[in-house]
Amino acid sequence: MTTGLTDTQRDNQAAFRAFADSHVRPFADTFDRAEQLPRELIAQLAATNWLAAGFREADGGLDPISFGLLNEEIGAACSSVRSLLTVQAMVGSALGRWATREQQDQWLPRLRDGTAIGSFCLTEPNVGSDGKSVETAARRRGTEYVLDGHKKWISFGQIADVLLVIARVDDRPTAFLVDRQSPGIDIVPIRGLLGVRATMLAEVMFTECRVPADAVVGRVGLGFSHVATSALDVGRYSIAWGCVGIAQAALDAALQYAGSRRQFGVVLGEHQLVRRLLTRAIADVRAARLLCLNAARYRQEGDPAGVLETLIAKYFASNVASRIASDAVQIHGAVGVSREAVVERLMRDAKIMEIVEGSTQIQELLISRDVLQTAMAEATVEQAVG
Amino acid sequence: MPMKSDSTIDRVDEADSRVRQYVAQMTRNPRLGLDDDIFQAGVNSLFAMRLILFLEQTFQIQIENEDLEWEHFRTVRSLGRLVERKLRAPAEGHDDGTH
Repeated sequence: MTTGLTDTQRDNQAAFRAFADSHVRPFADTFDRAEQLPRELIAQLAATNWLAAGFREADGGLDPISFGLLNEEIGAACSSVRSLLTVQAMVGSALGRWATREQQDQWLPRLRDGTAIGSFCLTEPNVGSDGKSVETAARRRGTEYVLDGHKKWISFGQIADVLLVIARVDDRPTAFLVDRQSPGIDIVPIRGLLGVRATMLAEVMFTECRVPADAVVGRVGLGFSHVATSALDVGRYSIAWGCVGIAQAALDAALQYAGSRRQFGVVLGEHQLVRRLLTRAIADVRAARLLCLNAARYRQEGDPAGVLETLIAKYFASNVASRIASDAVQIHGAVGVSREAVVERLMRDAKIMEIVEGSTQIQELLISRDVLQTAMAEATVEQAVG
Repeated sequence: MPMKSDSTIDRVDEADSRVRQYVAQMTRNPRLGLDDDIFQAGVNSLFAMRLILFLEQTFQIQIENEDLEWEHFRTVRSLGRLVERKLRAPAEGHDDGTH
């Protein structure tokens, strides 16, 4: 259902779907109930080289469209598994761009082959959308930095081997690459989430955690503006495509149910109000996918406009995924709110997508402000030139 | 990979004006001076990333870890000098750090 793909991208898509069908979809409910992903699955993903799919292409990543298709196919089967791809991409791509050669040599191969899992440590109990205001502190002490602070809602924090931590050096947000084995780190699992329950979230506490001075990624003071924003940009892109997957899976389930369940002598799909829900979902899935493809083409060119297009794709796709999954539950009726139906999990997972990597409300502020600023700037230039 | 060719000289000369034009648009300041502090002009959290992508796409260079100094990004003039250095580097036999 995606036009304009190269032969390689189509072959990739087929491989992604086959893997999802055999290794992910049959077990997604089990992952959700167990609230964890098995190491065996991580090893299977590593064997495909897809743990590095979101890295820069120079570091072994896929082209943006193929990476997007991977997130869609895996996301349609299980958003928790797709989240693993997202986090590896965020950490791997940020290191590929901003880390030193030594940092890259130490961690990129391991992130690539799955012997190391990464976690992106920005969010704190008091810091969510306002990422620049992190409270975790890093004090310089001789040849080391000492980290003290508390991160929360950290995806795969329970199993991470390397942490990309945003902390404050005086008032300057700074990125640190922290080995999980460093002294002074405590991990507390977070369980009982509404959705993406197998993303193995954790609280990460740093107490006099000493790291070498060369653990800084990039430069002191550029940890949010450069390192974190580039990681979040990749994360948004991954999640946008993952949301297309959720939406498509919910639509497929709704179509199947509406075409088979009979009430009042006809299948549900013959009832006009059900058709309305289906039509809206059909159009919205296509629109979301096209926005993701649009973002992909800008990203392939390294065009700065891709930043805004990625924001728009994530904003739209996450909202339609949530709406389509909710409508799919509605179409399913009572069974839709039970574990008998996949749409129950899809709806819970979709809701999370409206919050992570920039909530819907933050996206609305960023997108409108950006476009408005551009329009005002153009008007100002026109006035200046008379 | 940067394209080091006869066009290098023209693109070096263009650096200041192209950078100024882009930053002026992003900061809504048509009167932005070459030595004005860009980050004091009021930029959003996406600006740094877009500026880097703009430099890379426009001048076919790679901004890397060793380029990440605040002083390189502070003014239009300093950005122009960064671009100039990246454009000229291979012609002078320097390792541009590309990997």
